[in-house]
Amino acid sequence: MKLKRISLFFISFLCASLLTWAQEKEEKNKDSISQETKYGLRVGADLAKPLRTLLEEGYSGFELMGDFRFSEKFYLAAEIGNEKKDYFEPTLNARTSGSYIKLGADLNMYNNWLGLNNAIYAGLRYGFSTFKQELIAYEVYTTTQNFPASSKIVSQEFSGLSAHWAELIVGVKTEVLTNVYISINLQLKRKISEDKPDNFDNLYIPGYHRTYDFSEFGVGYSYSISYLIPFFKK
Amino acid sequence: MIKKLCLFVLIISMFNGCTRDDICAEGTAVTPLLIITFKDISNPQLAKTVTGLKIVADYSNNVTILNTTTTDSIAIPLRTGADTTRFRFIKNADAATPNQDIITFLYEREDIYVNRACSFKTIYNNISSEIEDEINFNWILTTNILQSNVENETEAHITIFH
Repeated sequence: MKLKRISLFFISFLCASLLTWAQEKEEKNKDSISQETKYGLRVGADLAKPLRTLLEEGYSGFELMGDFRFSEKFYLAAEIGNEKKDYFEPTLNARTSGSYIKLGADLNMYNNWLGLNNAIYAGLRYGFSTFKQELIAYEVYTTTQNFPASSKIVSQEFSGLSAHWAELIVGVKTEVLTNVYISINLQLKRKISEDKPDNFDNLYIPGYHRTYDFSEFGVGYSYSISYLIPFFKK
Repeated sequence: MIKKLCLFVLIISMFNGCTRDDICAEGTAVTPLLIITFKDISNPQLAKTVTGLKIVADYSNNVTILNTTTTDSIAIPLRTGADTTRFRFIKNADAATPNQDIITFLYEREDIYVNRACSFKTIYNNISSEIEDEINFNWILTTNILQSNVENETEAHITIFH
């Protein structure tokens, strides 16, 4: 009886140690293969803006983006785009059109499983836009309705306007096919400065999106597809 | 990480929700009303009420601006689509012998942007008044322009002596 127990102990001890040894060896092998990740230039386009162009009346726009990985977790990132947006409300008709560029960096905060290249990232951008505002028509606001409201068609154009803002981005990137990424992000923006048209306001700023009368903050989102051109592995 | 994302979405939905931009807030300085005070011709410092005052816009549709009331100050709208507004100021409107005076206000208009919800307001510059002379039958004797530019509703713009 005693001998049986002792032999069982030794056999299982041996098996266990063999097993752990084997596992260690395997892990080492896997590591040396997949520790290399791709570095390169990723280029893409926003899918939401062309879709809105098709579906939403009074809007047209597109955005191209690119990022370049320069360290394990950091990417240089930029977006350029063009937008046109109408503001057609009963008492005020206006149109904004122009181009923008956003420059900054992304930080990947996600620790990928071996062999995967996904990202949960946070980014910072500096945004700059040049645009024009067009005041098309308006109705004077009065507190009494004794006299008919006076509507005026003005078609006044304010061109050569510009705006600067800072932007915080949070998003997710997933590699759906080899080197093809789908990404979705949310953007919180804060105006730094803007040229206001004389006796009017910027109702919309390309890249910044709609403005608020009582707030310097704005919001945005993007849903994009991009392709990674790998330069080297590290 | 998920918590941070949730917070971010929450912040964004806060900004995207119902904002003050959607409706023109009450109390916003929009197109001002013309404020008129009535004073005693024999004692120009003294406010004097007008008994049974009724004001009607002197145009084809005869819109009543002020229902019959006894008061020493009024706030009335001016037309934002034209450089003149003509009124019939009727004293003792409900009595047997009402006295009607026709008064015209002349001004230059200027439209000023307010905000997204309120659109524009009109202010009236270089305002003046003309009373149609009825030879001894006018109850309005003279007017005094206190502020030639009607930009807000904080003070009286015109005094009418009677």
